[in-house]
Amino acid sequence: MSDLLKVSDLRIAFHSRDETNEVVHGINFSVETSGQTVAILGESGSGKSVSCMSLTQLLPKPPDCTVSGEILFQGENVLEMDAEAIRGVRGKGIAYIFQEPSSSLNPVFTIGYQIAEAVRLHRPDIENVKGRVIELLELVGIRDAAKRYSAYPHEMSGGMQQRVMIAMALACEPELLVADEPTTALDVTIQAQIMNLLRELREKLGMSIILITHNFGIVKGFADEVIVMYRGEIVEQGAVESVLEDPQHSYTKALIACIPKLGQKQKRLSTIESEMAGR
Amino acid sequence: MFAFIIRRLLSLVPLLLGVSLLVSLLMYLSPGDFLTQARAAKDIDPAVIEQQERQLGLVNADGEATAWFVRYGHWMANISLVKYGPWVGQPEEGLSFGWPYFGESWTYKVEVFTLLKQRVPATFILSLTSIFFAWCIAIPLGVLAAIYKDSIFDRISALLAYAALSIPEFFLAILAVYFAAITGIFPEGGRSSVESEFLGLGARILDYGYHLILPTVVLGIGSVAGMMRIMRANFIDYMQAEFATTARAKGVAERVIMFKHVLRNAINPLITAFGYSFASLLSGALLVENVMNYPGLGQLIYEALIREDQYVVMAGVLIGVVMLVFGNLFSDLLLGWMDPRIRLEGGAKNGASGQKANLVWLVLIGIIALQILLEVFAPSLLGMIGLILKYIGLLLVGLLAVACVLLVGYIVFTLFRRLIGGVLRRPMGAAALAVLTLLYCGALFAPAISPYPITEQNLVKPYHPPTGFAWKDGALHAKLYQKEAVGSPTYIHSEDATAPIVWFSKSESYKLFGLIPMERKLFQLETEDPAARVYLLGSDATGRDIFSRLLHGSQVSLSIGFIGISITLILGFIVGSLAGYYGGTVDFVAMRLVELLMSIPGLYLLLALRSAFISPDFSPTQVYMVIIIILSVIGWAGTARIIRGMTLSIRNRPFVVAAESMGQCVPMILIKHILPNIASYLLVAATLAIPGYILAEAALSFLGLGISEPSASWGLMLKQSQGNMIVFFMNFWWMLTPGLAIFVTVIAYNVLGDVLRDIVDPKMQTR
Ligand SMILES: Nc1ncnc2c1ncn2[C@@H]1O[C@H](COP(=O)(O)OP(=O)(O)OP(=O)(O)O)[C@@H](O)[C@H]1O
Ligand SMILES: [Mg+2]
Repeated sequence: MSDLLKVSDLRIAFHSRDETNEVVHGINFSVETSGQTVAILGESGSGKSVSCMSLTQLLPKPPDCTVSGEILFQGENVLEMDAEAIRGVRGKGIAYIFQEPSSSLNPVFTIGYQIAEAVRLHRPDIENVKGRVIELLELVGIRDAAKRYSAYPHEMSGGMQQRVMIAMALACEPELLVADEPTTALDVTIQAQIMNLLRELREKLGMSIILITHNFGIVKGFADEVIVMYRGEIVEQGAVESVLEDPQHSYTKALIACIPKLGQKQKRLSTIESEMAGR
Repeated sequence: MFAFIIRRLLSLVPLLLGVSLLVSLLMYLSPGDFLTQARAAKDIDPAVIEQQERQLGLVNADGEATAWFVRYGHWMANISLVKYGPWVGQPEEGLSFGWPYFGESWTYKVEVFTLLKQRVPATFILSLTSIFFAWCIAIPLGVLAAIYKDSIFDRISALLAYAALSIPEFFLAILAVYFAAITGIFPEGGRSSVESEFLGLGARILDYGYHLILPTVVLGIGSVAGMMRIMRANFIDYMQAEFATTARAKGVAERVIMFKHVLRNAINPLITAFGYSFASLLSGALLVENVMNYPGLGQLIYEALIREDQYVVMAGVLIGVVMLVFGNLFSDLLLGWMDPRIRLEGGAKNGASGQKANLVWLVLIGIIALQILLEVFAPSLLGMIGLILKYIGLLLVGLLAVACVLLVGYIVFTLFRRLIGGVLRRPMGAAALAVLTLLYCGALFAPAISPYPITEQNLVKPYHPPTGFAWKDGALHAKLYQKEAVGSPTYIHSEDATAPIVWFSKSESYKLFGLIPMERKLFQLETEDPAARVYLLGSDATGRDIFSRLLHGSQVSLSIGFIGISITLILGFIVGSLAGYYGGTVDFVAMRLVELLMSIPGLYLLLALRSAFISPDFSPTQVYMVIIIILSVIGWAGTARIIRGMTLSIRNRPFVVAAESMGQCVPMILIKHILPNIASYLLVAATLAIPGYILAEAALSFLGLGISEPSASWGLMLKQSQGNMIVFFMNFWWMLTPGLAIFVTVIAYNVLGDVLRDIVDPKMQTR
């Protein structure tokens, strides 16, 4: 079977002046074609973001950071690609939605320009770029899209900025969308809207998604497979239902216990530490 | 935006009022009266004087000189567009319209306005070209240094930036003239050639451009370094910004990311700095124009100040301020256009703070008005108050200076003990420290090391080149030189003419550290010939030993930075920490004052203050003291601003709140809790600020307004080479060694400051 993405023995290390800090210790996972969604969970600093950034060489260059192992995207090793080839994968193959929409958009360009840049790069055949951008803005549910075309990022709310980020990712028409905690910076109601939007778009466009989060709550009903990372290693991997029903690793159990259950009164919200200490 | 421009221009009015009032007060305070001088001058037509007296109200009905504020009032009436007859010397009463009249220049014997019409465009164009030059060099270099961070190119450009930051502008100007004189590629000065009048328009413009090149480069290089470093730091920051990653993740080419996404963001701080760079350029222009004999506004104001040409100074300073405000306005507009996040407010939001700013001016004008009232109704009282204030002030300043140096010395010592390991571990830091130690030792032991007294002339050996040495009969001998022929500037060494050097031999008595009486000097020449000398670094125009003068001069140049920064730090700490601690009105008033001080081009303020407070009969020590005080009074503003920011960030930390809740008094909290937390930053800021003092003293002495002959200071020694073409044409390079000494000192302080900053906080940006 041919996977869309196959990562084996991925190791990532950062080097500062006199010490080396390996933050990812050889992980393996894969994403199938045909709209599969993989969720990566883990606490803050466990290496989720860096693992995904390494998929298109977005990490700092070698003296500061080294990546080893093998990342096969559509059968080709990303880590061995030169600058020109990797640009072909970025956007077109793998597109990203980042954690912090407010700082991920360039403050001095209009959002229309920033999305149009992606369109021009990956769909040179489209003549009416502006029309396409407005279409995309409408697709992600921004009202008055034509007017918003020439708005600057700081003139929009956090939720709208995240929609713009999604529109920009979709403009590339990627095979695989990496959504790195797309809802962390947003409040709860917007979170639900964004997750619904992603779900809708996945069905409409048929792309695969890697969803990074530390919230088991949104994984349920969204992802097919789940990977749990802890301190740079994968500690649990499998279909969402089986992991949820029968977690093996104590960290996973702790995470699951952290899901606030509706209608169930708890004295206080459990933290990961207290849950893990209790077991 | 229109409202914004209007408001800005309106705020110019109180500023101009305040500045002109201040200038005329300072001119009045400075010794000597321009009217008396003008009357005494042989070449001024009495009719002109009489006309001026009438039109500008210089004398009253009885023919006595009027008070300064009366003259100021008349001057104001003359420059206003609507004129009231009696105030402008017209017999008939009633209002009339007329162009502003700025008075007459005594020295140039033309109307001030005519003079300005020639000079202002020259300086304006020079400032523009040098900013343009600086940008064209700084931006590409900064970007390249950022992209190829840590490469050879980055290192070299950082080194060059250090050098450019550390070289005094006037020294660079001297070097440029030197270069022009030797190679003959560029004109040695002036704005146009002699034959310019007879050229066609095109050729004349080319001629102007040709004369503009060297001044532009000299003036621009100082700003290149600063801008380049800002650009590089910004660019590196933005290269790692998340939006750059976003663009990369989209598949945008690296080149496009750098030159579009990153550059557009990184360039904004430079635009903000544009307004300020204009201010510093105006200061720099004064020196550069003087050395290169470029007839611009800076040279004009300087000469007018020296010669008490009152109305030229007033008008020149006003034009300078107007140019500055327009520079700031332009950079704000540009920034508003470049950065969509900035909205130029013209409406009510900033109105309140604008009014408060005007309040500061009103208070200032009020104080001056009070002074005027006292002067009119109780002149003797004013004199007494002035005298009392002067002595109290002197006493306080003396005490303050001692306290400051002790306190700062103690802090530096304790901090340094903690940081010294880190400094010594870095080669750059160790080297800078070694250089500074050497320099300060030289200054301390100057009387023992220098072979000759600084005032000892040797008129038969002017411009003697540095002495060579020979090894003879088991002892070190110095070569002796004779003039090639009588009257010839070149010296030749005849074989065998040497004299032995004796170590620790007796000479005239002196006091080491001003206390210990000594008789022996490090080395002397043993010879019968009274004119034979050992000149390690050659001799100057009167045959004085440059090496000895350099050592003694270092006492002034090196101590002035240290004492000055001590006073500055204490003043800055008091004002800054109180402003940060209390916030609100205290903060507001303090910060407006700071902005005011920072917006006046430093050198002009320095000159004005110095001509107001130093009278010709001061002893060198007094001059030295006053210069230090003036420098620190001008310099505390920047420090206060930094300290305020730091206090603000520490103010709400738990330990401060805890101390407050225990009822500790404010001075205690500031000293015990806030000072220790910002001490190391202060050390860094101080180290980086000391060069400013050294350069300012050098500039002042160079202009002949600081330490004066026969004392020695580095700036003063360089003055001998200014405009002295024989030095350049005969290649008397040793006359320029004081410039090298300044350069080395400043660069050592800059390197040390950067190393300290690296240790204290790698991410901190002081500049
Ligand atoms: N540029 C960098 N230089 C040095 N260390 C880094 C860098 N980027 C990340 N790290 C380190 O790598 C580790 C993993 O970081 P990563 O951003 O992948 O965490 P994360 O799982 O995404 O956490 P979060 O949920 O907070 O986003 C962290 O310990 C972090 O300190
Ligand atoms: Mg992350």
